[in-house]
Amino acid sequence: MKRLLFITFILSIILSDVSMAAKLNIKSQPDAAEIFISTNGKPIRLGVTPYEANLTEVMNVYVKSNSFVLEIRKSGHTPYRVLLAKTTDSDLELTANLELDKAISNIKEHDSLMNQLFDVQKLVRGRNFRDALSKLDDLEKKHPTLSIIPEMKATAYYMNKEVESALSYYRKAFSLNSDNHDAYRMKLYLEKKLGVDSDVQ
Amino acid sequence: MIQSGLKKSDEFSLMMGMANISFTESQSALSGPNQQTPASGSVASISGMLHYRFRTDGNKAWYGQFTFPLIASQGTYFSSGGGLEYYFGNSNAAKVILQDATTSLSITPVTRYFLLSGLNMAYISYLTDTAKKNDTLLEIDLGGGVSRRFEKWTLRAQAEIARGIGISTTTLAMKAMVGGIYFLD
Repeated sequence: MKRLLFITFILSIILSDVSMAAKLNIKSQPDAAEIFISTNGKPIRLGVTPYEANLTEVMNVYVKSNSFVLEIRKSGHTPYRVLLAKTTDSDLELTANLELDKAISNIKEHDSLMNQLFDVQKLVRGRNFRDALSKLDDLEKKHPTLSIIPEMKATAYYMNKEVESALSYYRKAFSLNSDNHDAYRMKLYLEKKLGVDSDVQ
Repeated sequence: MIQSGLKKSDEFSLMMGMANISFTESQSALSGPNQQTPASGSVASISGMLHYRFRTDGNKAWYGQFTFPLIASQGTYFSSGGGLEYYFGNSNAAKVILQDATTSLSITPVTRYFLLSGLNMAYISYLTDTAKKNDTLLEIDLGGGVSRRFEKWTLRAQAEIARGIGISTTTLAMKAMVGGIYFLD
């Protein structure tokens, strides 16, 4: 009797398969991104994130070949695409953290850099050279090709009466950007003051 | 730290069910003044099973499992072993996770069927008319089952037949277990 009950239980679970179809679950960060599905190059809009649907239905309606592309788009963000094999018997869960567009992320990065340079300027004006130089060291690691950072370091050293260090950083700033006239003028001035040959760096 | 790349999830299952072990003593193993004929009988118990599934390769996976009695009468039965499972009925034999710094994609099979075969070491203790005895067995295990994913959990149900050969007995164990799967992502 116990065995019969057990077998009935297992069979009922297997037969309930019909009503328990596979799920498609798509989330994005940020949400409210548009979801497109394409099989032959033409994307069809599925909905917006967060999105949940019956995967079997989606496959039957939209996917006519063995593979498909899911694409998540949101304005100001880089679209995310993934190529998947057609499946109707597995739950599919996708969570995508959309990256900001390169242009927007560059603007944000530059904005952050300028804010930090203003902070450094405030520290230099307040004659807090140690903190200013420490911040500039961090910034130099992140932006090793910008001439403004060694130039500000040079200014901090100069104001702290460390003229040789100042000259070294003015030279570095000029070597990174030959259009940096302020760095060039200060380089010439300090070379003359210290009696150093301008070719020797 | 986010681990990047494709990963097939291992699975741990805790199950409960029935184990019924029929035993027959070998004639050559009989001893003692009261023992004239080989005893035979069965040990039945409500048993638990710990099952660990790992190293999925295509539609095959290795497993290790341990069966232990929860409520037993007239004897006990323990079994521990491992073997190979063969999956069918689904293109994915395992939960697959693709993860990088920005994306997480998981594909989890809804319904899978499997056959399994393996080797176990088992221990049985049983009562005869005259004594309580025990034996250590080597078992060949054959079985099959189903796993089914639901909203919040995943069911695993399996049935096995294990033929055991011990020092003084031969056994035939029938086990039917049902429980839940925990995916070790």
